[in-house]
Amino acid sequence: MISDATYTVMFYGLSATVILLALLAVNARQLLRAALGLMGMLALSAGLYVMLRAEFLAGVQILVYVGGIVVLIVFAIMLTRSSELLEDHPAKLTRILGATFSIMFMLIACYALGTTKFTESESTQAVRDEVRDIGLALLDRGANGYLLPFEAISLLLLVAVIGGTVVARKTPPKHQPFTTGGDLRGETVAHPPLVQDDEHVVESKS
Amino acid sequence: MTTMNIAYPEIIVIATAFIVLVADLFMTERSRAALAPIAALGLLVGIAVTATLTPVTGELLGGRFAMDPVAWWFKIVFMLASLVAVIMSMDTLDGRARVRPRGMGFRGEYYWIMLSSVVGMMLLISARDLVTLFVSLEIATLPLMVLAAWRRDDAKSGEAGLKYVILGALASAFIVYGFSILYGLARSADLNEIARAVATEKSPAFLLAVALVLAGTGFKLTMVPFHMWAADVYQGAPTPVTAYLSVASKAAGLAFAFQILFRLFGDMLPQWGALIALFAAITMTLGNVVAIVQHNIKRFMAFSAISQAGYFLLGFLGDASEGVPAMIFYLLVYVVSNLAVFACIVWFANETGKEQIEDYRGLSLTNPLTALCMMIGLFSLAGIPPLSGFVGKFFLFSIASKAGCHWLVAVAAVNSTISLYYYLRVVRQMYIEPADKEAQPPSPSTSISITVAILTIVVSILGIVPTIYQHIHAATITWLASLQ
Repeated sequence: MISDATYTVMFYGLSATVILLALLAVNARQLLRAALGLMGMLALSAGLYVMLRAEFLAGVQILVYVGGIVVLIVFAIMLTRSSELLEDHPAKLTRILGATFSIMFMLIACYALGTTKFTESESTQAVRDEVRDIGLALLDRGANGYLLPFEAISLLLLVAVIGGTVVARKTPPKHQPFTTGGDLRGETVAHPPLVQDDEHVVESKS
Repeated sequence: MTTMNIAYPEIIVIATAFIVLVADLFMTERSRAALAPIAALGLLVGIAVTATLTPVTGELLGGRFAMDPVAWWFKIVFMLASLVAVIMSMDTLDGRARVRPRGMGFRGEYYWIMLSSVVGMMLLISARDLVTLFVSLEIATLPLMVLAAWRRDDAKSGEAGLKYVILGALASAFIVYGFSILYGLARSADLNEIARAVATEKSPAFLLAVALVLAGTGFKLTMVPFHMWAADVYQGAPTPVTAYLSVASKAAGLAFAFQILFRLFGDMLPQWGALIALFAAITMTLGNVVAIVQHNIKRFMAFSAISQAGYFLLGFLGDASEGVPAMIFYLLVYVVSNLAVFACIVWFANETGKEQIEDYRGLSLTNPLTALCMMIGLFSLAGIPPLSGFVGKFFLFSIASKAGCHWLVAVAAVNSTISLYYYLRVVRQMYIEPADKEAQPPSPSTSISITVAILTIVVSILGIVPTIYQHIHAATITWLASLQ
């Protein structure tokens, strides 16, 4: 068991680093740096979870965020020509307004959360066998279980997967004649109209 | 009560969604035209089963999923809205449109995603804990974001999807941050337990949580100043999706607001009257004033929808036993009227590929019946007396008046007049301006004509037949008693 002093030092050290990395993620000029800042921030917040004795949550945080999402972001940055998109300098007024509102929100949130006395949960000591408890709660059909959101979130993930596939798909599927380049003239075209080899397709007029 | 039958509506819609998705795998492109009828049939069965459900109250999973009379009405509205949206999408997706929009395809996935969002909305109103509430809200809105970006290689549609995703994620972040603070204060995820725990709460953290959750709710309801996403998303999304978005996201937003304002913060609602009144006034005024200068009909309908959100907010003032039935009734009226107008817009876009208000000139000469139906729908939205829109608005205005907000009633009345002006702009184009001689007159479509006809009849009689309002009112009384 670590002493209270070490605990405090660790907490403030971790928190300060997390905040700095979060600022880097938001302010970095290069996307890759921002992604790395995000990765460090997410990994270190897992450290905060460990200090709160939520080891399972810390593990999931590393697996899902650091191992999954940030890696995906890094791939997206590297596989696209994102370096050409960097020259985005928001107007000074926008930046000042954004900073003002963020700082105001931070101050309000700090004040509100700092002055409120949160009652401690009785179950803080009962964290033995945490993973088992979480697993049981997720599949519990009773009043304390989370079976419904657990099942519902699988539908959400499927929506995200299928929707993402449809929106991001580069080539149209074969024999879908109506995935056309459209019949409208003079429409804004992001890419040249798709070429179709199906006989049902009326020749694209645009 | 632990009978399974209260979950039948959700189960039927989910089953239909998966039948559509799996059938799509094995179908040839030609036979995929059968997908829309399958989806529509599933929704019809869902509506029929819900309508014959007895009793309409019950709980499952230890109270984590509950059915009540108000949820019953919401589910009927959700399924009706998506049924009409499925029928409206048929022409566009099956290639029967004369002018086909760029990149509409993937029919199986399209209907599947639409049905998934209905499931999310139905779970939303039945949820009894924060986790289910948040997950179902995401299931309801994520499909809408995907649908908005559905048109491949169309810059506007992509822009709509991207804006919706970014601002929607921000709103969800607000909501989930607020939820986490609420959970910390109440030490429970159960909505009823939180309501009991925070009934006397006045701490700054609680107020922060309330502000965050209400900001997120305002986004879903397109309440000013959280309305910025609406215009671009409505304009860029494929037209049938815009129709669905305008009614479904509003209905889901109202369902979410019901869960938050009545179930979670029901005891505090009377104290927030002045704030709600202020937001209502700003929302309807801004929506109306900006709608006047719009030229694109979809953008125009977006601002009309924003101003309608302001009218909905009137129902949260004053006595809940009158406000709740008035809001549900107006939701029904709004959904039917808006869908009637949008069915005409979808049909017109299919036939001509145009979506400017000026393009509608002379429609009464080429297609007199469609022009008439569209006019009735627009007049109902404006609140012209014999139509249902008037009755709905009348109920809402009288609630604000009883709550003592006479200035707000005056603002709302002025706004109704402004809205009449801009709805009349469309009617003027259809009836007074001469038709374009060179353009080929649009030809009617069977599926949309039938839909428009039915919707117009409903718009006309909903306000005259008192049984529906009576049923809603009776349902509300039981619901409010169960909240105590």
